[in-house]
Amino acid sequence: MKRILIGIVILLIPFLMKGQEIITFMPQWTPQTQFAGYYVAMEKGYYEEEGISVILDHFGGSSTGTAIERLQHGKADIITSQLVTAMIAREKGLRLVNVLQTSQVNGLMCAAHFPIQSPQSLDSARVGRWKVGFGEICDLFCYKNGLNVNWIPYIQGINLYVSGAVDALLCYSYSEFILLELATGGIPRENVICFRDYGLNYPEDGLYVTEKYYRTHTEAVEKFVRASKRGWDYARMHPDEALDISMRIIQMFNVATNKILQKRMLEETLRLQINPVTGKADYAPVRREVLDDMNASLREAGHLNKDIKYEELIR
Amino acid sequence: MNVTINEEGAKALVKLEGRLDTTNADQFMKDITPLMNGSHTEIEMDCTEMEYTSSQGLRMFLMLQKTVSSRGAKLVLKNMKPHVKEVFDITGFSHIINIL
Amino acid sequence: MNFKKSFSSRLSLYVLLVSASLMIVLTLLLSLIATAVLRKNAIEKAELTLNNTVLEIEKVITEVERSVDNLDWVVQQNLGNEEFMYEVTREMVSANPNVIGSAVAFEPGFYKGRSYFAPYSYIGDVSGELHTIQLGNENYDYPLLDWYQIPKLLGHAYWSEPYYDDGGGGQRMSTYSMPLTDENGEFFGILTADLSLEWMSDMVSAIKPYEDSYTFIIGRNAAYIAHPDNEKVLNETIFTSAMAMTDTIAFEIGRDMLAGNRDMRRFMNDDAASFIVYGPLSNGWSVALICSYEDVFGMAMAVIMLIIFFLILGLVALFFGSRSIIRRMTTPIVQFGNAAMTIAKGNFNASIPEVYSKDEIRTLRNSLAYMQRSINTYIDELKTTTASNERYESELNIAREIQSSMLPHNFPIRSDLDLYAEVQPAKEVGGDLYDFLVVGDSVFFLVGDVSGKGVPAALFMAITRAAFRFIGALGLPMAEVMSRVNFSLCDGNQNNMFVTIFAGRLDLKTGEMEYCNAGHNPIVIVDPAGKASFLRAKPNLAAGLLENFPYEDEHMKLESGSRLILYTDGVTEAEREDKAQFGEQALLEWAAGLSETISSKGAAHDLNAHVKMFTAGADQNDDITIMAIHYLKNNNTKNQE
Repeated sequence: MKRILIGIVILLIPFLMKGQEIITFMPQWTPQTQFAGYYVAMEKGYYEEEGISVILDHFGGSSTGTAIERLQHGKADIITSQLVTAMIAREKGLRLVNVLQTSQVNGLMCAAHFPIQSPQSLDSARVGRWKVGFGEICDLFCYKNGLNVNWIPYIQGINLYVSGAVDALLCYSYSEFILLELATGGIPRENVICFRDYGLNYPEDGLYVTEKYYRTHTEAVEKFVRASKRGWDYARMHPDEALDISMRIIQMFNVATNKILQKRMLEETLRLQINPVTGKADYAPVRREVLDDMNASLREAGHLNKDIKYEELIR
Repeated sequence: MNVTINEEGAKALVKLEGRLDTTNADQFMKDITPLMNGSHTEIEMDCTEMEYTSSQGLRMFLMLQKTVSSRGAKLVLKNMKPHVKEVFDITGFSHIINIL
Repeated sequence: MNFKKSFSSRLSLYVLLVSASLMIVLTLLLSLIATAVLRKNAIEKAELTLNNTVLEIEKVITEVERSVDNLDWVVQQNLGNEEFMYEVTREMVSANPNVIGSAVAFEPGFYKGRSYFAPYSYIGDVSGELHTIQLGNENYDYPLLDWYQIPKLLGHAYWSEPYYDDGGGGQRMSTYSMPLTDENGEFFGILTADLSLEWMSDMVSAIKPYEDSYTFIIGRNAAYIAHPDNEKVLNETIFTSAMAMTDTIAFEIGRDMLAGNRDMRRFMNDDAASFIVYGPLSNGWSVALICSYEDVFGMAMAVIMLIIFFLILGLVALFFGSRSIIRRMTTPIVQFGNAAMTIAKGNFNASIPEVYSKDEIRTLRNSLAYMQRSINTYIDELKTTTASNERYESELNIAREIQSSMLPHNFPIRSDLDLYAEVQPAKEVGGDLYDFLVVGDSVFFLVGDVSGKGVPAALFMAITRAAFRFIGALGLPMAEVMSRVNFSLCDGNQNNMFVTIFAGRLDLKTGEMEYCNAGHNPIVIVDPAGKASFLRAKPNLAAGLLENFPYEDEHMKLESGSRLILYTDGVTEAEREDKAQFGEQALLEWAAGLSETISSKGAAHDLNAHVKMFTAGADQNDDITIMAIHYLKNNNTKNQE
């Protein structure tokens, strides 16, 4: 905790000097290349060029609370979040809006100690999922297939799986799954499923601000979005440099990690940003049909009572 | 000259075959040594197969005759071929040696 | 060192080649064996080291597990006393040197009204003092943390994956968590002990059976717990290293280690041929030791180089050593060669070097010495034989000397007498003689043949001639002459030698001939008309045998122009190859064929030629004597008138 604060202060100094508009940006997890584009934009001064100062606040996101909660409490101005999570939060009352959609493809997976021949294989299984969330897609999956899963909530990591305490583990293709590969030397393909293959290919990461903030800081938000896009584009063109920049920031926050994980995470993150329709990373906003589909599924599963209106959510 | 000596008690029967000349005179001398040194009372020499003798051979017979006579024994040469006897005659040895 | 010429150099070169080949083969074999043994030893050593490492770590692990086990009982006994739990954790930390923290975390709601109750003691690594706190709160939702949840789910004790301690100091730690169950088997909490792993990395880095070998430990999630490269610890897994390597064996090794197996594998560690031994720890971690072969064999290579150096040195020494030994041992052969050469050059008494060994060289020496002796003996015999031959030869020469000195060569030159005589002596002089003496108008002549050969016969001949010369000159009748000569010859004649003689006296005026034959061959008379016949005289007895033999002489009258041919049996008994003899008949025929005018000399030569022609090269084994007398009274009378 101490280290994160120190890190923030260090990052803050140049911006404090300039007295520009300060935006607190809070990614939804601990520092990793999942957020490489933003790091690049910061390092390369794209935000500066846009005339805004950005505070990078990685609060951790592992033990308590989420970025959304922070947003709600005004502890952050812009956050990253998953679409599903945002939808559910909005329904609960937090009026947030999507200003940038980076992720185009769903990356949630489930890895098991046994072959998952059909969704039924997971019935009654102990499956680990994060306490803070991120498992909604899987809820939809279970609902769709009438599965009764024994959820084991945990904070983070893959030890639940590795120790054999759970039968299967939810993981993201760009983080936990890579860790699993590095920890086991390779999980047999038949033991793994991707939820996007089961009709749940809902986009994930994007940038969110409160409606109020958007109204009052529209220009700043747009600048932030523009610079962030530039950052992501640059990272796409220069992945090695992006990796180095990210590693510096990660080490600054004193987070234990290894370069190979970060490298592969960056690769996978960039890959998930490619629009399957156009084949390009074009930050295409969520399509209406997709949102409708998500609304329907969530409603069915009981996560939503009311549809989220497109216009309200997507900017 | 082949000399074959057979003894019948005190009598020696000697058969002479071949030639007696200077080349085998010494051998003849050796062959008749048992007669010279023996104690035969009578020595009969069968000269049927005696082909020839030289003057050297005559000497041998003479020596034998003298030795045999000195111990009182008798020497007789029998059945001599004519041309051989002629040598004995010419040299007058017939007078000295008994030839039958 | 001329190899072609020097036996010892060639031999020692062959010895060298054979030994060198043998030694090279042996060295190669030895090297192979040594390498294999070294490899095996290295692996065994590595395994031993690994086992020791494992045991050391196990000791600590077991100690912690046991402590926690013991405290489990304590906790169970004092469940009613919440505050006591703090004491439990303090006890755990203070009693164990490696335990730097301990907690008793209860399931939310176990103690009424307490959703979080986790007494926790730890050693602050800055102060080193023991602190005790209550761990659980909203920010520290321990029921969902791995150290709580996993053993709870597993239902048994669990060693956590090593992690860096947040509290401060950044120590590597692992937490041993044991689930607590009540008498009904219901789970109600977790008892933990935090084990610092710093000692482990220290220990591991000190383990170096070979200079470049190193040890690493991985956890159940394949992450390095201990590694010489500190960067890797907890940051990388064995598979991240494997991905950097081209050989997929690293993946296999990693998986095998995770599976809790123990094994030894060979692999290429960044181009260095190496081997790895690994084995599991009881808590699911795995220890591995890597050694490079270069390390292992480094010294061995040096040793092998040294061996090869000494081998070459040894071979050189062998060559010179064996050459000198061989040279020394074959010196006798060289000496034999020299001795043989000396002997061959004529020094038959050259000394042959002595040999003291009992081998083939000794045999050679003995053969050489024996050969020398044989040569000497043979030469001595040869000398003796030659000497005796020479003596013999000289004897023959003496006999021949005597004979030829006895034979007169000054034949009378008279118109009424043509007398010629000659002797062809045989190799071994046969004792033939002739003689003649002209006294006034009488000619006294004789031809004789001594029995025997050699010097005795020649001497006998000399005596005979001397006797005749002396007695014949007395003018006595021939019978008397012969008797007296006989008497002389019998005197002292032990050898039974005798001589056949035909002697005669011819009165040249009257032609009256008085003659006496003593056992000699009948002479040939050729009358003036050329008719030849034998004069059959009384044989009497050869002279020298009976002292008082009464010799009788005879008389006849020769016509002028008559020839007398006197001879010895060397003529009539002359043999050709097939032993056929010339014979009396051939003599008669020859005499009949004489021409009227031929001289006595010519006649004698002619008869000789005839005999020679008859014998046709066969050896002459007796003297050939011929005397030819031609009586020519009328010639003389005519001249006188």
